[in-house]
Amino acid sequence: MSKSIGGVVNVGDTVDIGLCSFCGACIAVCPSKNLYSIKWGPSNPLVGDSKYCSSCRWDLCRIVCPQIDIPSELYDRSTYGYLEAYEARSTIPSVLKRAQDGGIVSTLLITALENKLVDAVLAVKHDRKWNPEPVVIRDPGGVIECSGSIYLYAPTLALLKDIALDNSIEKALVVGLPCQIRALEKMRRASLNKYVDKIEYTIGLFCTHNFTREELYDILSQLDIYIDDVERMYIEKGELRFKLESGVEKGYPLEKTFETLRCSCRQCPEFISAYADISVGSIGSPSGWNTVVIRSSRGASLFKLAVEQGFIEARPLSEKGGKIVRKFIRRKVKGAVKHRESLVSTYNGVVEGKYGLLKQFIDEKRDFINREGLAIEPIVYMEFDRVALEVRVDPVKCIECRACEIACMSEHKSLVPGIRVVEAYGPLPLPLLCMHCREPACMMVCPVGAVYRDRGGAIRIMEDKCIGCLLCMMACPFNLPLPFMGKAVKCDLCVDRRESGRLPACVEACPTNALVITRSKTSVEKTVSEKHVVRESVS
Amino acid sequence: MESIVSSIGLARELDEYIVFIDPSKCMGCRSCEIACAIEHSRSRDLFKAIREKPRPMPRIYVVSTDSLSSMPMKCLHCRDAPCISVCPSRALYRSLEGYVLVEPTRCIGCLMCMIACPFGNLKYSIETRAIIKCDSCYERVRRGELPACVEACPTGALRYGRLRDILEDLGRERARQIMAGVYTGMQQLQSLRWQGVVGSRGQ
Repeated sequence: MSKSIGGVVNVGDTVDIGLCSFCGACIAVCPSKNLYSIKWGPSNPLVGDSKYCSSCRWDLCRIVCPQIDIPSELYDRSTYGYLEAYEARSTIPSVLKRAQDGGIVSTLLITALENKLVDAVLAVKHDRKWNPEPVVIRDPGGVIECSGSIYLYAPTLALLKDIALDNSIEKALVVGLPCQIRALEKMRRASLNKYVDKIEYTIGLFCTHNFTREELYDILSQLDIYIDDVERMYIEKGELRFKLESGVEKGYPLEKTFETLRCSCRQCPEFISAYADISVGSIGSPSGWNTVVIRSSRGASLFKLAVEQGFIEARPLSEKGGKIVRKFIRRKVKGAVKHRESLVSTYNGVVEGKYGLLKQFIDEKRDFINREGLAIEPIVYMEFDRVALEVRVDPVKCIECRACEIACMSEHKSLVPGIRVVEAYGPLPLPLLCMHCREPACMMVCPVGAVYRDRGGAIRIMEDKCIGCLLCMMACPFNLPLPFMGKAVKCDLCVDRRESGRLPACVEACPTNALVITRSKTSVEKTVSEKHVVRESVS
Repeated sequence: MESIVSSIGLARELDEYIVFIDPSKCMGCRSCEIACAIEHSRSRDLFKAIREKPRPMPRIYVVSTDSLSSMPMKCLHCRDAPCISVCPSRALYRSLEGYVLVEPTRCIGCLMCMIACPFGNLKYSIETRAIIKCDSCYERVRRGELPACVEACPTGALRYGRLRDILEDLGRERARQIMAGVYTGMQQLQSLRWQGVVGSRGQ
């Protein structure tokens, strides 16, 4: 089996052919942190160092990319049915003042935050220069800042990692374009649970297409406008209109922008998001009102709550409005189908990734476990004497993506990992990690005394003393110390991170929560004795 | 089963061929010692080698740790070998394959390497007036054969191969044992402990 299809290993190629809609999902999942975006940089993720990409078994960035392996059901118009549709507008004056139309998105966010349905909201705000900036909002007051549309790509999902690692956030809401919600759905289907488990609600925005910053600047220069002067931008009657601070309004026909449209937007079939709980837009309702399309019961309850509490006034969507929405859906799907075909024939290897293989792997694994009748529970190890760390390894969740290995190598700037995922039985992998044993074999066999226990309790190798005989590798029951640059290298439980109270890199990078470390306050002895009690009482 | 891309790491060192010692499988038969001595004799034949002068010496020694367990000890060809660093006449050098080899004609018999080696794997032969040490049977290896000790080992305590492949094999074995142990009780995991080499643990 070749490592990658057509030599494509990361999203770099996808970006090159203009297939990137800059949702930021790849930045969140990349275990080596070599994908990043810069605030004033180009509207796409930048690939720093693709050295580790060949170790990434599923090409995680390409797995979550919403523009690669688009689920085929989205190219079917019947997918876009909805439960309820409304015309609605906010009743909160401060929201209405800044809102694009009816202020429904902001009001829903405020409702969710005020009622403590979610702890945080992922949205985009912009500064005076219309520079989009994704933010995590925790209090209702912060929502107002994010009101108003901005027709630019923003890497909102790059903040998913922050949300996943923040213990104070238990539930979150994501506002995004259909492509961003699609990335979330792809994560969910690929069982990358870490990033989607906390997402309670998703709000999608109607989208015909979107612009990069360069494209917007190009339009502005054609209209002879400085970005600083723009006070508001909106779409009306087929024109992208800019209202300047001086009161002057200028319009740019949308038809013209279709000519230079990126292929990411051309191949995207979603006008309303098929996976969002609620979709909001202005098309189909009168000026100052929003069209709200509800696709799940969860979304319906949130909307109902907002109406009941008097934040939103709503009335059913008019027949004419429904027709317009359906027309836009039809038009976008039709255009996407046409463009998708030509795109697949031109860039076969780039447009299709390993998503199918991963799904197959997950299915195979489920079958294997069912067939063999295995009852697999997480394995819980205890590490450390002084600070008890509870390490939970779940072979059922592990998809053998090797993100932990890559994160470890990238963290230590080495080419050998301190943790290793091995395939135990068929599609059932198990991460092997250093146990920092109480009586470590590696320490006992080291002829030069290079292996020692540091103050935190981790077993480490002194680089100066090590002679690279690899006896520790042979003595370790898991064969974890590995040779690199003439020395043996092993897990040091991320010394730098420990000092600042962060989790080890491997745990942070694991996208499926197969590897979890919790800091338990009880000492090892106590936990062990508790376990005995439990076991005795069971038997 | 689908073949998986080996991804233990990207380091070049992992693609080197090494002799992997697994003491848990050693039964102390000393076949490796005899095979080594024959390989390094002039005649390369057991019965002729016995009467040879200088007497053929093994480069590998089976060391007993207690009455039950033993371990073959040979030069581990350290990546940062102290013996090479201390040798004043540059008689010890590293070959292309990464083996630590000795050039007997340059050896002046100062025995600094014997002091430097933490294992005591280097021996001085009075008859040849030079240091003798494991050369990882480089002649055999270059011909595509196994090193003599590995070929002679009946139990698999000595394995020769690409480090990456060996680690993958051992890792899989270990993961299976862990899973079997965890899901049917912890007893099996206990028996996996490396009592032989770790010494004090077994007692």
